[in-house]
Amino acid sequence: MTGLLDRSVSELGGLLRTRQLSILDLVGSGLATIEAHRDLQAFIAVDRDGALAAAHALQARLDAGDDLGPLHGIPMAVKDNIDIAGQDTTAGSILLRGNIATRDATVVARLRAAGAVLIGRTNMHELAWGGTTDNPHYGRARNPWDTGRIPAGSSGGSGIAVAAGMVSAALGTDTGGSVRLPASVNGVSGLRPTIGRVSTAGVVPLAWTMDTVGPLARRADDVRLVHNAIAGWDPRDRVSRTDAFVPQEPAGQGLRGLRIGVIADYALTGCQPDVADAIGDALATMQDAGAHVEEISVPGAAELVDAQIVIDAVEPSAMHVETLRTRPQDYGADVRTHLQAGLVFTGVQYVQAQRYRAWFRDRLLEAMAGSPGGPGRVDLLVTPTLPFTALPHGATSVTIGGREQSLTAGNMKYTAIGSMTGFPALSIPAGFDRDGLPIGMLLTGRPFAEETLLAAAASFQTITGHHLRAPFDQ
Amino acid sequence: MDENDAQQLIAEWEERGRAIEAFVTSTVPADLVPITLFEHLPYAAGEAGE
Repeated sequence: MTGLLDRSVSELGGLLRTRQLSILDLVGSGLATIEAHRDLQAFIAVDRDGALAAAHALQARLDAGDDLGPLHGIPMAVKDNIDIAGQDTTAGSILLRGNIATRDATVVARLRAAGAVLIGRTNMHELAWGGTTDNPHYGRARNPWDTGRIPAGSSGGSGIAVAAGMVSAALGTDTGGSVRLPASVNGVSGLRPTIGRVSTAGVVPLAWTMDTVGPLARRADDVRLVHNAIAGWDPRDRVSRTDAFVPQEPAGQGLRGLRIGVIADYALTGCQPDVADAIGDALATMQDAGAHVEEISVPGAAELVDAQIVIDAVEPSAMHVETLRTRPQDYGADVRTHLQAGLVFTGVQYVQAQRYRAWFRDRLLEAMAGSPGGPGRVDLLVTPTLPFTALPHGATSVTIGGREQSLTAGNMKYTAIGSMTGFPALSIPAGFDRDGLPIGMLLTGRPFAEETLLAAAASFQTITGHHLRAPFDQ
Repeated sequence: MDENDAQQLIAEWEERGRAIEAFVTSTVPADLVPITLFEHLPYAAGEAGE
């Protein structure tokens, strides 16, 4: 790692506060890196003037002793489906061009209050309804580890921007895996919070009962800093949890004594061999550091993707039903197909899929609680984030466990646990495949136990170096 | 995505819809209510299992 913004937020903060660096240095570094790697198509819009003005203003406040906290002066990016007042929120679609936000999304207002500098709006899969970020209107985003491959999605631009050192952290949105998938294939860390923990007010919806906003950063500790800044009750969001959110400090125990569950006949099946090996090695590393690993049985895990496809398809189609009829030509081919597919499900299937969620959530909590004579209580689950590493551009299907299926369904194999239950999940780098492509490990926890995941990940990252490798080091 | 890919995707998803309908109908107790938009206000997902 050599880039300025590859350093940790706390290290950058120390350099700012001792006047070894200025906020303008950081923002200038980010803007220069974006310019140097324009071919990656990480951004839909870069707000150079706004970022430089914010840098000057924030430096003046810091110089005057008005310190806003750990994100003061830190360059960040925001996915293009999140409102920034005065800017065009297109959600990667031409249908929303000219949609100038009149106020900040709650998460943006909170980042500004924390002193972050917002450099630009990241590229995304059109309307967040897909996992390639091959955007037909704003450009094909490219994986910085191999530009012939996808950066995943839908928050692909946010994953690239962090991996390439364009920003210290970025916001994405995660409905069916859209923070976790790009975190995995770009080799960075990304958190999907518990539904209700982080406001979605001012964010273009995809699937109302599954949508979340979450941070991506190289390190879990930096994910925590951003999560702490954006989490908490918001009266603009009716799904928001009403009790107070207390920003979390790093938990002390790390991996020692942590109880890790591995879902039998599911967690490590149907993966590329390099992926299964990397996750096996990571589990062994965590055991060596004092964690307990045990298999648990969870009924209904095989049905996760079936249920998720129904809900993830029906809700966007409900939102777009009118424009799909009047302006079908304004959707890209794959998103138009996804939206048309969402119209084929029956009302009964949708309701049964929502009932499955409630049922599976209870089964998972029972399994994690342990049983007399059986496995003990587990604190979190470990799976791969994806069964495979970054695919070549243009792939539309994958074969998992001998079954060919749509790429969208293949992407969901493990991310569906968090999306269907609403529980938090964190993807962190766990190794590399034989082609040098990043492999992600997914930690899924109990509701509102984000800190358990972040503490385990931070501890893992003190004894491994996967997260410190950057694409341009190769 | 060409027309063939689109038809293949729709056929796969229709099958998934039938599969989850059959699974829930045969497995999930009749008195279990679906997750709703307002599940988390004020009762948060799964807190009873904490």
